[in-house]
Amino acid sequence: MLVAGLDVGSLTIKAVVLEDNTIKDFTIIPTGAEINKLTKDCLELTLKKTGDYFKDLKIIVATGYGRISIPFADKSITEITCHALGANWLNPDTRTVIDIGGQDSKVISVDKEGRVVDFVMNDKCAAGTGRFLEVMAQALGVKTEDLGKESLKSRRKINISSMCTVFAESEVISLIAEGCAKEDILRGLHEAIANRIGSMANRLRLENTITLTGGVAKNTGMVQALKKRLKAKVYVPPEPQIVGALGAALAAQKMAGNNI
Amino acid sequence: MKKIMKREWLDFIKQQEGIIALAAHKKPKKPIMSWVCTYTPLEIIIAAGFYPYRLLPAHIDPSLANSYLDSNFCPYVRSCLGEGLTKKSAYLDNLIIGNSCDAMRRLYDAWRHYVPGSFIYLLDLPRNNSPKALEYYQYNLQRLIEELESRFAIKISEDLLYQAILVSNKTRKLLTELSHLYAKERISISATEFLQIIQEGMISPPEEYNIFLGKFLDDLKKEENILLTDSQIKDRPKVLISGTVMDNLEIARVIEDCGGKVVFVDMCTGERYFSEPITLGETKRSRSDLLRLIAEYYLNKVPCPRMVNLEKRWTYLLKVIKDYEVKGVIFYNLKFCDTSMFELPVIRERLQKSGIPTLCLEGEFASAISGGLKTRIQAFMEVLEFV
Repeated sequence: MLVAGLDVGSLTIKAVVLEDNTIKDFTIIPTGAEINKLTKDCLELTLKKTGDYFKDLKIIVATGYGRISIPFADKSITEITCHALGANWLNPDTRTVIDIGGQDSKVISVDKEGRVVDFVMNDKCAAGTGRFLEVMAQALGVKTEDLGKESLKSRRKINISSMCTVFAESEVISLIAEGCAKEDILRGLHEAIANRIGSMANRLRLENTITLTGGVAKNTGMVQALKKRLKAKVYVPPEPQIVGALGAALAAQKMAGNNI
Repeated sequence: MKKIMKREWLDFIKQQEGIIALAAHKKPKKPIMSWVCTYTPLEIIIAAGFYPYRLLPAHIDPSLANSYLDSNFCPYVRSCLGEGLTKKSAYLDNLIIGNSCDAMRRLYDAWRHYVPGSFIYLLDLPRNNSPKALEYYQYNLQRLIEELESRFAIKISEDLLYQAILVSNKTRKLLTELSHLYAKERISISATEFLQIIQEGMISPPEEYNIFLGKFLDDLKKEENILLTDSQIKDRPKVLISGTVMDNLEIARVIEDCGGKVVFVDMCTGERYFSEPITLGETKRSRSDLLRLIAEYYLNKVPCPRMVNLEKRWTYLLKVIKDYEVKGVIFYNLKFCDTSMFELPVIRERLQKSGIPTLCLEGEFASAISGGLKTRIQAFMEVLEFV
């Protein structure tokens, strides 16, 4: 049975094609203004790789902040439910999911079936999100994908006090002017985000294993900082960015199964 | 059936708009006395010959008041002050503020200074319903009456007070009946419409409102309009909303759009506005007897979180949850509302232990509902589907 999950995020669109409970392939593309068309493209690209056709898809489920703008999806489910499903499928020991996406971050408590028990979500501003790191990378002239690697070189601790994207950027610029090393500033930024996520996570009862999802989990510096802050068993899936889309595909599979 | 209801409803709204428009031109039939807290004795306002009018300035951006009150301050209070500063409507001429929280006291302070020429009164309010508290509140009601009498050169007799209690009692009876019919899904009105009818009661001339609501209910109860219980109760998770002021009725619509059914609204713009009527008895009462009854009604009703009675609130919420088969609770509190935030962790933990999922949302008197809020509500409904 062939199904697809689409995660229409604020910075990237993800598509996962699932066949009989196995990931056949996936695609990640940047988000643009024409969400519907881009999402269709993202799905078509994936289908090209798997050699399947759109009409073969039994059910399509969309998630992410743009989920309601996808008319060809059969159902829209929130990313909270999808990340829980995806993380549980990847690691059944998952009891907490920390998803750091492009424009928000969430902490989700999950039971052993992958069902959401409770959740908290920060979406008031870009603080502690992928977008925040992108802006900081730009200010420091570092490529986003190198942020983690660079920060791990740090040997000196710097405290970044401001978590507002605008203020933190000027704080970073002052630090550069003072002659601080890039890697130390980066480590300070990662620790500041980890502190913020940590306080949010403590509002729920944190249980092991904690699975990190969302694009920011690809950043090794961020993972290190979170491990240190949370003092917990942390699991990072091989492709953390597609967990939401995977969860959507799993939901689609369940729906399709119920229909037969 | 739905069509008839909607048309009558629209007619009533139009009529209300007329009254508000009159108010804006400072020519209403009776003067208007505004209020902001459900511990304000509406009976006294009515007996004094005023239309009670609850300030619910959902259309006013709280930041208009930011020059006088800090931006990390109750958005309801800031919106009220924002509207007061415009001085556009007759309902801004007179205001009674219940001393229910620090935000209300600051509204009183700011209003005195920046809305000159208006009548403003701060009614002190005890924190519990002990005999001493009742005595104190009754004394405060007496002082309010004396202030109104001297300021507006009127006399508030026993008889006027008695008649006013009858009017308020009628409203309470009608709204209680509506609430039962609505929660049991015997009539087809949405959560938004239900809340709208309640809120309309807070800003309409009470006697006219009673006549309308009475007719409306009579129509609803006609045999052909009553829905069969079993055919109508759908398989939707039942939700209780608990909180402070509902600034945006669209929230109720989003909950219903995501598949939930709002069965009870424990808010001061919802069910906390009305409860069991005051029992007057047959014998003639003196003014102080009547004031005693009014004091008892307000201090004994379901407490707002600002009252020091967590156990009473907990027992009441638990009863609502059982009686209405509530599956999940959505807390909707205005930002920076310390009194409601304080009780939240305790109530939330107890509910979780009883297997009732909860969701906490923050209101900020913003006109639009953010995508984040919708995602939270939808995700919560997805949680409830499994419970």
